[in-house]
Amino acid sequence: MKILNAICRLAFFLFLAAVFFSCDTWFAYSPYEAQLDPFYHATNSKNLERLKALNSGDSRAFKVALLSDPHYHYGKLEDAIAHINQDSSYAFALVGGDLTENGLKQEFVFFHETMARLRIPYLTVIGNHDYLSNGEVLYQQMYGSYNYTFVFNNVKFVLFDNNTIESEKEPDFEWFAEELVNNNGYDRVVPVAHIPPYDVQMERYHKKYHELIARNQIPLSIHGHRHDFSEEHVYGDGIRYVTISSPQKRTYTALSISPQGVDVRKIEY
Amino acid sequence: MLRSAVVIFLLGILFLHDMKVFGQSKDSTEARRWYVPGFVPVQYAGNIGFISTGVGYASRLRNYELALMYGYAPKSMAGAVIQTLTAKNTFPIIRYPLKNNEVLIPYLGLGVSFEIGGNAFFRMPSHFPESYYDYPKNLRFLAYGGAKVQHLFDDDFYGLRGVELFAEAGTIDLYIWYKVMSHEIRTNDIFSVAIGANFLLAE
Repeated sequence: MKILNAICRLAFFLFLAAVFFSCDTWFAYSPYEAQLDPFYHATNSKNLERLKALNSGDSRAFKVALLSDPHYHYGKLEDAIAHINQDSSYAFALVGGDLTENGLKQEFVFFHETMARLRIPYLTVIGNHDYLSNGEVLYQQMYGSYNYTFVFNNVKFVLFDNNTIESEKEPDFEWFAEELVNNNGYDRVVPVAHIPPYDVQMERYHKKYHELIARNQIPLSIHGHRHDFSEEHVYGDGIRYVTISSPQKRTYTALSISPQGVDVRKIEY
Repeated sequence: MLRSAVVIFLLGILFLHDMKVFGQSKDSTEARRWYVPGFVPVQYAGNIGFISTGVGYASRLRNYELALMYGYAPKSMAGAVIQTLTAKNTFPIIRYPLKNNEVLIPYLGLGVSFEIGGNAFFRMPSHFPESYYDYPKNLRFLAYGGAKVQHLFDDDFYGLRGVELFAEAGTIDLYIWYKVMSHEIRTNDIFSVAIGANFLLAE
């Protein structure tokens, strides 16, 4: 009996030790926590630094991998990343929002860790699902500003938060209007926003959005949210609205930009 | 952090004291009424708050326990004030006697937890289009397993007949889904630890 007791005690302590040392996050207070380990902070800034080293500064052709709306599908996102990693012609990747399904801390961490497999730097724009729970705060910690711009090979990318329902706020059109103006001799300006203007989230603002794109003679606007690849001339004036497919559909999008023009292609894997 | 823990622990003790007084006013030979709890759980972490406490009930055969708990996490610990209501259904697997008054009890459990601190919605806000989301975002299911050491006192001690110390590893429904759907997410990415005590109330 004594031996059995000793074995039970030993088993208990071994069990406790195994539990304690096997969990990456020892103590989780709630899925709804709103603070991230500093290791995950400012990822867009870090990737922009990496991108600087690749930026020629002049008008050279380059290729961008466009991903969007992974939501629940981190496994399929891994497959997309593996496919992108095989193609050395991509300079960087853009993720068009909905990095998470519920805006939970651990979802952001899963997304971040999955994207860490990507060989090239990536930049993100916030999606409507990323606003759920405390996602708004977590997104800002992990990726930074909701609205920002960067320039690569003399092409300006304008990343714009145009979510309205979950965010309960009006998109900052004043900022967007200023940033769309090509006053520095860029080869082109490319806006990227999660919601396409013809979606219900943009019901009140679709005319405003399109009017700004048209006024600045921007031929292409890139979006996510719809989960399917599409390339539409919605307003009949030649402006292309592209939506990027979700990894759920086992596709992503290749964006090729050169001084001669822009090509958008759906990639299946 | 420590201050919050101490305050909540003292509140738990006060609650415990009330239970003791309530118990004393009854005839000791009378069977425990259905609503009088058998134990008071106090838990640290485990996806239901920084600290959680409530009331617990055990089946007569001791093969099922229900704990109804309120959990709290202060902004300083979780980045936001989090409040939860949780029902933990625990199933003791076996009882290993350790010594006279001590038993080791491994267990498994399933629970359901609602975040009630306004960090996620149960019913969609009115400005959302109809059927935009088809399930509550503040509802999470819990799965956990652990072990506890039960120590029974020789005589009732301040209204307690014993105490159980437990440690468990747990996860939530969503993380299990991510683990199943992803090659890269490891099992230990989805589990975290909780520790706590069940204060067993005297009859």
